[in-house]
Amino acid sequence: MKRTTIGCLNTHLTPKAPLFAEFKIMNIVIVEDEPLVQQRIQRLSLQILAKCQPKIVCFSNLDDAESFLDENSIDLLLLDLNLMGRNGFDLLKNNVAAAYHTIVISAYADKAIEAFEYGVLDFVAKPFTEERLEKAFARLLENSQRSYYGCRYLSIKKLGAIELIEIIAISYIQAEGHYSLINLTEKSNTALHAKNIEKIMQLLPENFLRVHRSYIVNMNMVKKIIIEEGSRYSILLNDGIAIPIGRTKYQDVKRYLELYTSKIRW
Amino acid sequence: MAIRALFLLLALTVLNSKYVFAENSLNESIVGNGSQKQANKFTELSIRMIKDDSESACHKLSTQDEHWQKTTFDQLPQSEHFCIRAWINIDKPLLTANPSLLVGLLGASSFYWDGALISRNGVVGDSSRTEIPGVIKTLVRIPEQNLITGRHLLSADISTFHVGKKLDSIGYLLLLVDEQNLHHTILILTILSAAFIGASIILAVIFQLNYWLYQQQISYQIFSLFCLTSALLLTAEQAKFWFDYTYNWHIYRISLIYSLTLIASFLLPYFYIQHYPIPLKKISLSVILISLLILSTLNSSYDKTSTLLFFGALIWALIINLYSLFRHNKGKINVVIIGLSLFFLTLIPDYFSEFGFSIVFVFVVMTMLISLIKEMHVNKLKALKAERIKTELLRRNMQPHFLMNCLTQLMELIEIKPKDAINFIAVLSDEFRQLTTQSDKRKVLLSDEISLCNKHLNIMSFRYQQTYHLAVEGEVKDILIPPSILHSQIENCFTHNEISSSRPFILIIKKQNGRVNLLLKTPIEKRINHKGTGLGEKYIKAKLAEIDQTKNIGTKAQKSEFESYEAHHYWMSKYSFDA
Repeated sequence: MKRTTIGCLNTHLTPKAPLFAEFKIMNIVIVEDEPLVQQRIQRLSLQILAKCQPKIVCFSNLDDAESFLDENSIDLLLLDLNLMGRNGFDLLKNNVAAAYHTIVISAYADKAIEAFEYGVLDFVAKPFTEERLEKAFARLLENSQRSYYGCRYLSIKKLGAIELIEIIAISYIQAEGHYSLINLTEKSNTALHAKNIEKIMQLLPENFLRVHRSYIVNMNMVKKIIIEEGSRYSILLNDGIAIPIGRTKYQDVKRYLELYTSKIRW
Repeated sequence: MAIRALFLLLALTVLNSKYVFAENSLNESIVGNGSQKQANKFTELSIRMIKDDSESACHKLSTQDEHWQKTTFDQLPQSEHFCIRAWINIDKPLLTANPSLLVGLLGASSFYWDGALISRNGVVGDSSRTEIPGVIKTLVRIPEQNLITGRHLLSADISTFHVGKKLDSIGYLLLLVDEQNLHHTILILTILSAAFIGASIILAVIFQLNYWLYQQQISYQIFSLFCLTSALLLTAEQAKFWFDYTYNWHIYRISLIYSLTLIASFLLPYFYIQHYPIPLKKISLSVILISLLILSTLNSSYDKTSTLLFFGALIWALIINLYSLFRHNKGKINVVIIGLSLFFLTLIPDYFSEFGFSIVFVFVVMTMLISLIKEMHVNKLKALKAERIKTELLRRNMQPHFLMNCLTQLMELIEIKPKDAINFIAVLSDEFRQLTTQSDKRKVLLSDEISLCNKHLNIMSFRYQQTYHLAVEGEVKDILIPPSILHSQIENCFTHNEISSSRPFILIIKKQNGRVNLLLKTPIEKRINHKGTGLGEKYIKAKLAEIDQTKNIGTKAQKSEFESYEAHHYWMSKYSFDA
């Protein structure tokens, strides 16, 4: 099979869009209790991400990994989780609230959809091949690609506790430095998420559109599109807030609206 | 007395046909005069003993001497040769059917109507040597020409040398009846009894099959025997309708009835003792048996004794059910029905052997049956539960995540160390094979179970790159245990625990007085997500309950026990059961 390079990804997948994270050193944490499986994940990751020069640290359980995760900024957590019982999902929520992306590698394949709903970037079912792991990394590196299955909740750390925000309650998301400010439909109710706007975008379902470099809008909340001076456009949301549309994003917005709705007045 | 009940019944049918005997003050019976003041008994009978003189005096209308004495039919003497006579008035226009003379008597007899011989049953003699016994009941058709309006003399020659033992009464029946009505009544009585007998035999067979094919529960066996005894008892009771045997056999039939009643009376309380958790079973049984034996000696009359015995049995059954009601709140319906039966029995003991027994029997058997069916239902649920847990447990081992984790491992090994992959597959298939073959068994050798545990530890050692092992202390030989009860705890240890060091698993075996005590210590390192009593423990308890169930509860068997708790960084699993 012919291999190509996507960014630092050594793969035979075809790239869909240019990558942001070119030649960036990646920091990866693997949590897996079975040594041979841990070795497998590490070995394959190093092989696939050879050009990214990834730094990989392995732990056999989450407790041990926690202090490392608190003190180091990483790009990706590859997590093996016993998802039987509530406890596994509590641990998962904790991790998806963090700034890094989480990819779950688990034998509990029937829990995949639930994991996606909580906001994992990908769910790799055991046993897994090298190709499957490549796809997961590609998803991480290609910013335009979204997860298979849009999340239903965003987990947010608030005063040390994890709070779940339902996706349908979100009006728009605004970039705030390395963080994202989540604006809910309930007026003046906001929450700060540790992930940046690109990463959040990867997790959200299709009705969320990146309308501006700093804005993601829930298209279900759009009231109408306003044309302003100098042929600039903006979106008027149901709650009366106007969001600017980036010049390069206008076509996306238009296409989306043509495809999904005819109710909105131009 | 058995026949007296029939007598009363017959009286009813006779009344129905407006065919009435009425007692009169003149030492005579009147037939067909329509007065219904009292039912038809030949209460005013005369008797005279026959010594050496000619018996011709018996049947002459004129003979009215001092040798005649008043008597009743149920007071006829045993081992004597005598004759009896009674006067009957007949009102021809009121007769509706051909009347026949029904005689139930332990003796040989010849009956005369107005001095003319109308029936002969056996040969009347003056000693047991010359007498040829007659059958226990005869029905004599009175010739049409003799039934004319007026006063008639019924007389009989009787000898009773073959009764065999002193009985309360040897004369049961002397009646003029409508033949058709009689057969009708007998038919109905017989049908009822035959139905009870048939049902009892079927129940006896069903519960025997149940015992041998399904579950060796002692209460099934007792119930089956009770049904069988009852069927025999009813058959023996009804035999008088079905066979006209000569009266010298009567005593054997009655003895048989008596013995069967004694057995049935013991089995009834025995059943309830077995059915409920009653303490001191052996002592209670002895007390019941002794009390029944005492009851059986109180009265010389067989029929009364039978009634008394069954009464005693019902009292005991009531006591046991009341105990169970207060102690465990079980047996409400039983108490009511047994109470009613007792009430019925006290009120009308005369009906007992014909009707009482059948009805009481039906009710009691019904309650027993309901209890048993409930018990079977509970047992079935238990068995189903054990079965379900077994399959679940089996599935857990072959569950996707276990398999998928192993396969992930295999993928890595195939790419890196193919030889190890082959070893791993061998260990894995080894465990699966043993698990599937032994899961169907009731019991397996402890040594086999230990080898299964070792196989699992091998797999886990492979997966976690550790060397787990099971240290066994004590004698393994000849001990049988329910399959996978140790294995499931070892397995559990890995699902809820992360074992990094090489601390051993420990199994301590102790065998004392036929009881096996096992202690399995599984290390606790870092507990993840521990769920106290998981499926594994449910499975163990169900399996132990299953072996308890199949044991004969009558023996000194103790219940199996299982407990598990945490101590000194070990998870302790304690098993205790009979070897």
